[in-house]
Amino acid sequence: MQKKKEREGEKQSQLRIFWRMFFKNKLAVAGLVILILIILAAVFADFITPYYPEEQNLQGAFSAPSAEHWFGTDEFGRDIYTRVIYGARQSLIIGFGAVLVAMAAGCILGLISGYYGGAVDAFLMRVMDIVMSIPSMLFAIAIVAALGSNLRNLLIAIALSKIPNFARIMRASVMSVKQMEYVTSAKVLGVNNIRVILEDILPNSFSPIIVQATLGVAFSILTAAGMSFLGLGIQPPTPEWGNMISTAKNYIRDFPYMTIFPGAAIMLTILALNLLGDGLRDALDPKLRY
Amino acid sequence: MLRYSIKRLLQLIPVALGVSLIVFTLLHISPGDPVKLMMGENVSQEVWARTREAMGLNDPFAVQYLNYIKDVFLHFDLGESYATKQPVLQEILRCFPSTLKLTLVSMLVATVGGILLGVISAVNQNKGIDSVINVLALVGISFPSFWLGLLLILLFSVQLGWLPSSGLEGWQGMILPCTVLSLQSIASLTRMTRSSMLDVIRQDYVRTAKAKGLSAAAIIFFHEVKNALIPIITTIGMDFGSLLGGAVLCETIFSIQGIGRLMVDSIKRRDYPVVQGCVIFIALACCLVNLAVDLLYMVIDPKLKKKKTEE
Repeated sequence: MQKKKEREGEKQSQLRIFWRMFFKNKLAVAGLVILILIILAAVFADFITPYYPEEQNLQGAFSAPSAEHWFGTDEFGRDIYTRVIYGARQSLIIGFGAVLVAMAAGCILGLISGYYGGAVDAFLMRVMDIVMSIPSMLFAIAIVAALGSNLRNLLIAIALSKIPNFARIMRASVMSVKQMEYVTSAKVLGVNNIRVILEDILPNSFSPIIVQATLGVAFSILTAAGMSFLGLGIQPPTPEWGNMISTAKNYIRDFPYMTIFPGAAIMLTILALNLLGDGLRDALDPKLRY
Repeated sequence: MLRYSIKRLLQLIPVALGVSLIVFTLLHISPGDPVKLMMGENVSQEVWARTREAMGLNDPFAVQYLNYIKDVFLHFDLGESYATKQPVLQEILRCFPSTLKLTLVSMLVATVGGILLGVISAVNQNKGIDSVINVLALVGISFPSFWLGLLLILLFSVQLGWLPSSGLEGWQGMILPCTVLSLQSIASLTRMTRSSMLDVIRQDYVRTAKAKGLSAAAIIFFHEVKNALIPIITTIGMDFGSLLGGAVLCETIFSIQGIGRLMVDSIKRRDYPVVQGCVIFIALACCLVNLAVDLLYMVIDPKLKKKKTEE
């Protein structure tokens, strides 16, 4: 009982150090704030946009940014500001969804591989090598080519290509923690494998996974936007930043604002995630702490 | 060294088989009937059945896969394009030079630019120029390359009329595509080089070199950069894959007839043998580059050479 309390107390002070480190880093906080604002905008899109994203008005097509249409209108007279805000939904769903799936699958595979070692480990890691040897963009393209292009398949495609990253980190963490005395002693005491994994190994592998996840969301959003730009991702008329830029490309000579705003939205999101990821990495790295 | 190289080359075989299995399976389960895709929807029942048999489509999956890899690895035959009826390998080899030129030049630009900026940044740690480079690198890794491409076309081709907006002809034609493709790598290499350099700068031998009175430039180039190279080269090797992936976007923006463009067009035409061939071809190219990077380590780091040779 006493021991458990001590452990909890230690955890709390660790968390406090982490928060203090994180909030000292102004750029990281800025990244977090921007990201939260983007998420809120996506969730409450219905309330903060003056038009419907797919509402056409052919007479009002190609109007430049104005008080009425902040970001102007596109070739069907749809309000670009509204479409950019709604577009955040697709990007965030794919970004976070793909990383969650990849993280869950990768962590489980990494745990199994690192904990049991031997032939299982060798086999799983060879499979990961194979997946990693295909550039993730191409892997996503191959999967979408086979399954068809929509949000679900795009999410699966990106998730699959990210699994090895998580599996490798997890495996490395497990291998290093496995040798520690407290894990050995837990095993000697007869604690079963699953409890050792859940209580001792998993919490210790947490920091690199979190950093990788944050940067992974940025990567997934970029890949998804790129795929949609190629016409292999989210299909119009659903508003998505990549497919908006793809259409805008055809009108770039006369109506450049159509390209500017969705692109700026992608960049702002990725920048926020990268700032956050850098901040988390620095705050979680004990070497930089003191 | 030689034995290790051969061992690594042999390790490529399971990877190549695995990649081909994944890609073959994926495209096997894709919708659409190959014969109809090849001969059109109006093909007669009799011709349809005969072609199916001739193409081996009635064989079990395992037999089809074995036949495919036998053709690929023994005869370098990647099948035939549904659309042009040309051998896939020929199509790929027609498009590959453009992609290779684009990727290699971008890789060179990224390597030189990234290492240079990273070294400048690390040597001037916490000074003005370091902050400027840091901010630029952060913006660089956050910039969607296809958006950058369009903005550059808008500025340099449409507004100023200085550079062509498509193709890869001459040095003027190379500037925009290579800038677009290399930007992310420059940015990530800059960050990598900076942190790797900062680790090295604090080492004892650098202090010794300073105490011996070596000039700053000599210390930077003979001690620091050389020892910071290992993680940098790993990054370059891994970047090659993402550069090939990025080339798909770049080729679409600048209308370059490369392998990425070929692949995207083939997906839209449902020309699966070409898609399959492209993915396998590129994956193998990446494996070879990673092998080259691995061998390069041993040239740079003699400690590693000794260890690996003894294995």
